[in-house]
This record gives sequence, structure tokens and C-alpha cells, in this order.
Amino acid sequence: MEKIQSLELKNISKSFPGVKALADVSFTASPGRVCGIVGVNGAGKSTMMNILGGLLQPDDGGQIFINGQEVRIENPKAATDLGIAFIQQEIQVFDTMLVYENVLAADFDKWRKGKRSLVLDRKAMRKEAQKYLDALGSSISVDAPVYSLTVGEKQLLQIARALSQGGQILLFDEPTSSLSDNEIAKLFEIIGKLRDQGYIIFYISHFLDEILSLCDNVIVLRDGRKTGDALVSDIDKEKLVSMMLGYMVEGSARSSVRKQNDIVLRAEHISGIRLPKDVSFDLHKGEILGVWGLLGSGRSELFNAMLGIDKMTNGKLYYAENGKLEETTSKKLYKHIGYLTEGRHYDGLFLDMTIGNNITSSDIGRFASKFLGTLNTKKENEESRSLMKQVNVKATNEKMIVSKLSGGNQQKVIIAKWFLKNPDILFMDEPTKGVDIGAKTEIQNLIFEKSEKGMSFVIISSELEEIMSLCDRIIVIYEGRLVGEVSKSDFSKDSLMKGIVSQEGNHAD
Amino acid sequence: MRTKKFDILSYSNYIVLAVILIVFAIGGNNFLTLKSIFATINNGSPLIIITCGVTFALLVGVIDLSVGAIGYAAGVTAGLLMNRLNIPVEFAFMVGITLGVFIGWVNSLFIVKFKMNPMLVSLGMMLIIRAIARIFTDDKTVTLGNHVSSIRQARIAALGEMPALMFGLIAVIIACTFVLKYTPFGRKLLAVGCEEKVAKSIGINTDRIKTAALMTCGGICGIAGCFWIVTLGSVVTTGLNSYEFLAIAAAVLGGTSLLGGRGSIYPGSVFGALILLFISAGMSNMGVSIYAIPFVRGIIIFIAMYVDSLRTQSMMKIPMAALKE
Amino acid sequence: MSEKLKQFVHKNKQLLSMAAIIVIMFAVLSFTVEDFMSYQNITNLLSQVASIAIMASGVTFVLVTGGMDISSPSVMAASAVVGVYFMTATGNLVIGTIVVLIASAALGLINGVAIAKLKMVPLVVTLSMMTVATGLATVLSGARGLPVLPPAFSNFFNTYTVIGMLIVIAFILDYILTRTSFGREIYYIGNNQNAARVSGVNNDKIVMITYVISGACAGIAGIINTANISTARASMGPQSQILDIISAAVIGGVSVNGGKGRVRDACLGALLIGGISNVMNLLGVSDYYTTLIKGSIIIFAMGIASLRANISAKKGV
Repeated sequence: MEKIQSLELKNISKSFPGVKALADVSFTASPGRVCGIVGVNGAGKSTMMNILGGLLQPDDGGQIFINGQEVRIENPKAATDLGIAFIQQEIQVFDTMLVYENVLAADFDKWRKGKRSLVLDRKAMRKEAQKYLDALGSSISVDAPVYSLTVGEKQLLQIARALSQGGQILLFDEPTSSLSDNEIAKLFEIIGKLRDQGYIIFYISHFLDEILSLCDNVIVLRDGRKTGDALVSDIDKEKLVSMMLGYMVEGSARSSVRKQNDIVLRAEHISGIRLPKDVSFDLHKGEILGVWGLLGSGRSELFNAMLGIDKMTNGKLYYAENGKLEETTSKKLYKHIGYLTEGRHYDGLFLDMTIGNNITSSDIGRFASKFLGTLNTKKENEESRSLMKQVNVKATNEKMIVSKLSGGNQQKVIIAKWFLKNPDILFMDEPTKGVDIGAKTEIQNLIFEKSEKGMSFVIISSELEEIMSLCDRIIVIYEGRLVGEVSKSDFSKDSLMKGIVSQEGNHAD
Repeated sequence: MRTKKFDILSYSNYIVLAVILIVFAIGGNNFLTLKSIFATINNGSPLIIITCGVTFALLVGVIDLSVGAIGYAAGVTAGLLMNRLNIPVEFAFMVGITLGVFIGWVNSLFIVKFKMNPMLVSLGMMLIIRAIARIFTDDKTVTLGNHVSSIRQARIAALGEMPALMFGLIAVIIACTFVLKYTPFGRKLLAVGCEEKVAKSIGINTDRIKTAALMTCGGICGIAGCFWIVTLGSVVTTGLNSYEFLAIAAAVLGGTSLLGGRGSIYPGSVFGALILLFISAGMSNMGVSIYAIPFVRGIIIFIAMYVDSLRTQSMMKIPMAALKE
Repeated sequence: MSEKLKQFVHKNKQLLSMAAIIVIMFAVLSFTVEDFMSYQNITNLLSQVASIAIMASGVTFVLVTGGMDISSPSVMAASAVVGVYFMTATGNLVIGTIVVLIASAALGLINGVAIAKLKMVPLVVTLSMMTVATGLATVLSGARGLPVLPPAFSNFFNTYTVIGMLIVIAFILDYILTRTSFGREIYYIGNNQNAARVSGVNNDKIVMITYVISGACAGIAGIINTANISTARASMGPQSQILDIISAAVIGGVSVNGGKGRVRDACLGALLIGGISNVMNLLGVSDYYTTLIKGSIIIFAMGIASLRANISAKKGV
């Protein structure tokens, strides 16, 4: 493979039904440079990397040039053949095999003893693998079993594998999310080495300090467009953040500050398996509490730990049954709450069941007779229909199968489901994700209405605008810890980012 | 921390077998003689080989319940060819083994190409195969006296009068271990079983590997069938009954994961099979009623499976939220 | 009128197609095979089907949650042996019958605990149970087998009682699965166990209960089979029966991956399978061919089911 001197992306767009993930993005990259890519959740970073990695195809009109020649990256193998190596976020190694087998896993066939031999030339394989490990400055033994390696070391194997396949363009996708500080420092050393050896490196991360310290230049994406392309030496963190978030409408749909009622839920020192770490907060009756943080900060993990979906390694929960706060467990708390999760298809919907069955799944006991548990399907259907109307699910009737609905409607079905249960507290993780702008406003108004009637909300959202307009108070999470609390009167992107920005100063130094 | 746990487990096979041998040596009479040990291993050779065969299937993540039946069919075929058509032993065996490979291929057609549920397909195949075989034997026992007795009685003087069969068994084990550890096929197989998606993404043809694995499994079971008719001297209709369950249990006992990607022929599966064999041998040596033996075996298998599920769970400590991405 | 009819047809697709096949099959057979439609034969057929159908009904509960239970025939034999042992030892037939049910439910509970609480693989757990239960049955039967029960037992559980039991039990189980909240939760778990958990369903408890139900059904089948031969033997529950049971369920539209199927249809599947066995018998076809044909049918039925799933997967999303 010839040496890659330049990579150019021209007018790259990518549309999915209902949403334009990338719109007209163009930039060039040259060897010996680390190019950072930043943007909020949904800005288009993953889409772009997937296109470069051959997992997605750009819309017509978009072109990719390597060394001035146009190329088509039809699939991951084509990407590898062109010298593009995608080092993904999930660790992709074979735990049950040895280090050198993992490094050369793509080429087992090439390492036979002779052209016709059946046997692998292990000696030669180990030598080759050692070559790459040395190039990366690693001290891992080639004979070590992979399950015994740390996450950082496994990641290094992925890099070694990428190099062994002839990768010259390396795409790193959020590589530091599971690494310790030491491992991050090591990774940066390696990337620096690779850069000096002339590789083209892309680095996606939401850790802004990492970007600023590691990268030579940075590309900012927002809503699928390129809103920034600058040398790191020319910008600072504030500028970077403003390019990521854009200009905000400071006002909100509900400008009046509401009176704070009694506490209905108290969480103390909540800790989970890796995240969250020692988070405490109070929730008042009828309050809409926002949980803000960047991608991967541990907000969903906080919900899962508190509500018993994942293990809560430490912490206490208090719920106010009749005005008095009493200690409770996740299991007992669950009776009084609803949980709209982030993964619609993963654990939000029963895709092959009807809308009605999905809606009544939150409180099926209500429709069961006392004695035998017989279901009153008539009542089920009636209530489902009325909730469908309330939430405005666009479907003929409650008997439609949910998998056939659009993403926005599916989301509304889940909201209808929890409104049916009518819990005291509703936890929502990205309630308007994948929902069109009209429906977004509908959902936000529904939340307001319910909160007026006394339902309390804890809402995770990655959209600054949304969270500021919806919530009465916002807590800020960073790397699993609570780093800030802002009340409505002080809402601004600065006050919310302040907690994060000050923490980032301590990260990856 | 993790390193320690796994290292202990990998030596556990030797430890457990040693413990069992000691227990029965003490409790039984004349249990630990070289003769009886050879006899146990000899008679258990079909099980050991089927366990090796099923290991190939398990390593790619396929629970193949037809392995006993495949061995049985191969044995029946070879036996009938020798008995009824007087075909020489070597050819009869080759036909039997080829049949095994063929059945493995049929299994792969349903499981890999048509993506049907492996458990049920192999269950169905198991019954079909046995039925066909029994049709051919007319449900009567077929004696093979002359044809195979020479093999059974052959001894290799140079190795301490080791039965030729045992020598053959060792050869098979070495071959299987070799293929798994030292050929590209074996390594790719392990990769596919460990993380199929990742294997696919680096260019391994996962369908082809799975098919080959199942065909290999079938072939090895065919070999087991040949060993079976030699050790028994005849073809009985209930031959190798329930061997699939024993073999899978033996493999798991030996460290093969039911989810694929983890396991070995030697020491893993071989020792797993030896453990089960010596438990039965020890118990009957001690005069335990033959009815109780399957009962005790079932409990041991259950414990082995439980330990395996613990192993799997400890390797998969991933919080739910991370899985969603 | 026609709208309601349309809905009925759509909801009961499986039932109607199977009923059609059975009606056609029986009609053809009554003409071509002598004695098929005789009173004697039909009642014989139904009582043979009863055992498989009831076990298939129990296994349906497990299958719908996405689990697997291959221990039914063995649990059936074991609990029957335990019951007969008790009955011949104490002479009390009534309590003995109850003992059968308790034993089978207990074995089912062991399955359930291992799978739901210890998080073990269902196939493996029920496979072990199969070995253990058969061993238990063999040990308790002893070398000479169990003595024969007094005729009162067989007289009570005669053909008519058995057919009645089949209908009543199938109805009750079908009702529980399709018309109660417990049954609905089973479908939720089978469709998406993560979403079921988030919705507040107690997955562990419900899965455990399905295995108890499956065990209990095996016990009921044990009672029926014991009445048939007036004693109990370990060989009452051969491995081939599990294929009949699963075939019955699969042909009846129960999905091995969970979330789909009902007891009523599984029973019809058992009737179909039983019909085939019955006809083979009448025609004097040997056992092996029958097994051959049945084995082929299950693979065929699964092939169709997986084709259907592939087609709808390609159409949808």
C-alpha cells in the first residue's frame, strides 16, 4: 500500500428517514496531525466515522479522496484495504486467546509455515506481533492471555492490530471512556508517537481538555454541519464550547420560578459498579429536576443504580409516602415511579406487541380482577385509546404493532405507558430523543401539565435548550460525580458548563 | 486479580481427577491397577472422542445434541458394511467417518445457512439418525467378531502392552489438539466463537468456519463410532445412548464454555471425560447399584454447569447501561 | 359483521389453520385407513394424546418466556414412580396421587430456581434434571420394578376421565396464559425481558413459576400414564417423548425464542402428532419410520417458522 499523503472529505451528507445526520461536511487531513472531532450527542460525529469506516454510505454528491484519487468505502473490509482503521469504543478483542493471536487475528491464513502448510508459524507470528508492540512502546508479553490484560492494554492490542493490517488512517472513537489516568497518559504517548511517524489520526472525544492537549487541530460538528475547523493553538475552551453548543435562547417556556414544595425523594451517596460515584440530591413534589452532563458522564447509570436495574453498591433512598420521608429500597420505590429509559428498542418497548399492550405494561395489575387476575381487555383498550389521544400517538387504533410506528410515535407510546401508571415520580432519560420538533413541544407541554398536577420529574437531557426550558433546577454530573447544582434563576450555558469546565482542569493532566 | 482465578481453574482438571482417583483407590478394591485403568480408558474411548468432537461445535457456540447419534450411525454403517458385505475394516471405517462428516454438513446447513435453532435441529437430527440406523439393523444386534477382534486385541509391546486402541485414542487427541491450537482454522474457530461480530469485522468468513467446525465435529464423532464397535465387538441398537449429554457435560466440566470461544481439547475436554468415566468406574467398583450411577452423574453435571455459569458471569460483569450503546 | 370476522380470523390464524389441517387429515384418513374413525380408535387416540398435550401445555409456558424445558418426560416418570412407591407402601391412592403432583412440582421448582436465581442456562439445567430424574425413577423402581396398583386407580382415571381432564386442564392453562395478568407478564418477558423488568414485572418470580407449572403438568401426565399401565416405570418417559412435546408446541405456533404461542394451539399440535403416531400404528409402520417422519416434521415446521420470521423481519423496520 502506498503512503497516504492526504485525505479529503467533500460535501459529505447523510440522511436517515426524518433526520439529516450530516449536512455538507468538508475538510482535509494530512499525515503527522492529530485531528480532534467534537460535538454534542447527535451532532454527527459517529455518523461521520462510520462513513469513513465503511459502515455507512454517504448520500449522493459526497466524495472522499485519498491522495487525490476518489475512493468508495463500501464496507469495513474496503476501509481496511484502503488503510483506514477504526478503533471503536467497545473493546474488540478475543479474550480467550493470546496477545499475538489477537494482534494478527485478521491474517491467520497468511502465517502458515509454508505456502501449502496447514500449520501456523507461531515463532514468526510472535516476532511480528512483538514488532508492533515495540513500535507502540508497550511492555506487554506476546504470550499473555488477553483476558488478563487491563482495558488500556486491550485497547493497545486493537491499535497494534490496526497497524498490522496496514492502517495509515486511524480513527479513535471515545477511546478514554474506560481508561484510568495512567492508561490515558500512555495512550497519549502512543498517539504522539504515531503522529510523529506520519499517520493520519482522528480523535473523537467529549473530554475537551483531552482534545486541547492532544490534538493539532479540531473540527466541530453541530446538527450535522461543520461549525468550526481551527488549529488548537488558536482557540481556547470557551471558544470550543461555544462552537459546540451554538448560541442559546436564554429565555424559557416557563419563566416564572415556582415555589418549592416538600421533598418527595432523597437520594444519598448513590454509587454504582463504576458509575455513579457518591451522588446525592433531593427531589421536591411537582418539581422538574434536570440531570445534565456530557456524554458518558454517568447519568443513565445513576438512574439504573437508584432504580435497581443495575447494582447499587452504596447509597440510601428515602421516599415520602405520607409527607414523611422514610428509608426505602429500589424495589419498593419502583412501585411509586416510572422510568422512561434511553434505549427505546432495548428496554423501552415490546416491539412485536400492540400499542395497547405496551401502554398497559406499566401497570397491568390495575386491569386484573382481584380473584383470578383475569384481564379486563375492554377497559385496557379504552384507557389505551384515551392515552394515545392525550399524548397524540398517530396510529389508527391501539391494536397496531409498535414496530411499525415511527421513532417519534414509539417514544410517545412509552410516554403514554408511564402516564397510564401515573406515578408520583417519573424518571426520563432523553425523553425527546429522535422526536421531531412538533412532537418535542407536545411532550414538553405534557410534562409541564403533569408537574402542575403534582407529578415530580427527574429528566436527563443532552440538549441544553431543552433542559433549561423544562426544568426548575438542574444538577450537573461529571464522571459519575455531582459537580454542580443550578436553579432556574441562574440558568445559562455558562453556569451549567462551569461545573464541568472546572473539573476538566483536573482531568488528563 | 482475574489472572489468579483462571489459573487455578485451569489446573483444577488435574486436581479433580487426582482427587477422584485417590478417593476410589481408597474406597474400592483393586481400583488403581494399571489394567483396570487401561480398561476404563479403553471402554471409555468412544466417550472421550465424542467429547473432543462436540468441543469443536461448542467452541463456535453450537450446542449439538446429535453427536451421540452421529457416532452411532457411523458405527452402524461400518459394522453393517463389514458384516453384510464383507468390506475390509479400513474401508468400512472410512465410510463411517465420511458419513459423520456428511451429517455434520447437514446440521450446518440448517443451523448456519437457514439460521434455525441449533438445539432443536440437532435434537430432531438425533432422532432421525437413530431411527434410520435402526431401520437398517432391523433392530437386531450385529456381531462383528472376526472383523474387529484383531484390532481390539492388538497390543503395542513397545509401550508396555498398551492396547492399540488406546494408542489410537491418543493419536486422535493429539490430532484434535493440534488442529485447534496450531492451524489457522483452529484459531479462526476460536475467534468466531469468542466474538462473532468482531471476527466478522476483521474479515473472517464466520459462516464457513462454523460449517467447517460442525463437519469436523461430525467426522470426529464418526471416528468415535468406529472405536465403539471395536470395543464392543458388535453393534447394539442402544449404542451410545445419551452420549451427547455426557459429552457436553464432560466438555463443560473440562472448561469449555457453552457460549463458545473458550475451551480446549487437552487438557480440558479429555479430562472432563476422564473424570466422568472414572466416577462411574469407581462407583461400580465399590459396588454401588448401577441405578444410582446416572443419578450421581446428573448431580455432578449440574454442579459443573453451575460453576461454568459462575465463570461466564464473572467474565461478563458489564453494567446494563454500557450494553445499550 | 365481516369486520369482526376478519379480526377473529387474524387473531386466531394459528388455530384455524391447524384445525383445517386436522379436519382434512382426519377426513382423508377416515376414508383411507380402516378403523381410523372407529369409536375405539378415536378415544384411544385422545387418551394417548392427552399425556403429550398436557406436557406440551406446561412447556408452552416456559417457551413463551423464552426458556426451554426438556425434562418433562423424565420428571413425569420420576414423579409417577415416587407416587406409585408411596401408594404401594401406604395403600392410600388419593394421597398418592397428590404426592405425584407435589413431586413433579418440586422438581420443576428446582429447575426454576437454578434458571431464575442462579442464572444458569435453561437447556443445561433441564438436561441435568432429565438425567437426575430418570436416575431417581430407576433407583426407586428397584431391580424388579414397582408392584401393580389396585384396579381402582385405573378405573378412576379411565379414558373418559382422562379426556375430560385434558379438556379442562388445557382450557384452564390456556385461560391463565392468555387472559390473566400473570399470563400477560409471561408474554412481556418473552417479548423483551429488559423492557419487562423496566415495566415493573418480577421476571425471576414469574420464570420460576413457569417451570413449576411445567413440572406439575408433567406430574398430571404421570398420573395418566400410570393409570394406563397400572404401575409406574422409568421407561415411561423416554427421550423421544420430548421431541413429541416440543414438536407439538412448535407446530402449534409456539416460538422457541419466546413471546408467541398459546396452550390451545400446542394441544392441537399434540393432536396432530398423536394422529400421525396413531395412523402409523394402524398401518403397521415400524417405530423407526414414525420417528423419522416426526423428526422430519419438526425440522420442516421450524423451517417454515424461521422463514416466516425472516420474511417479516425483511419487510418490517
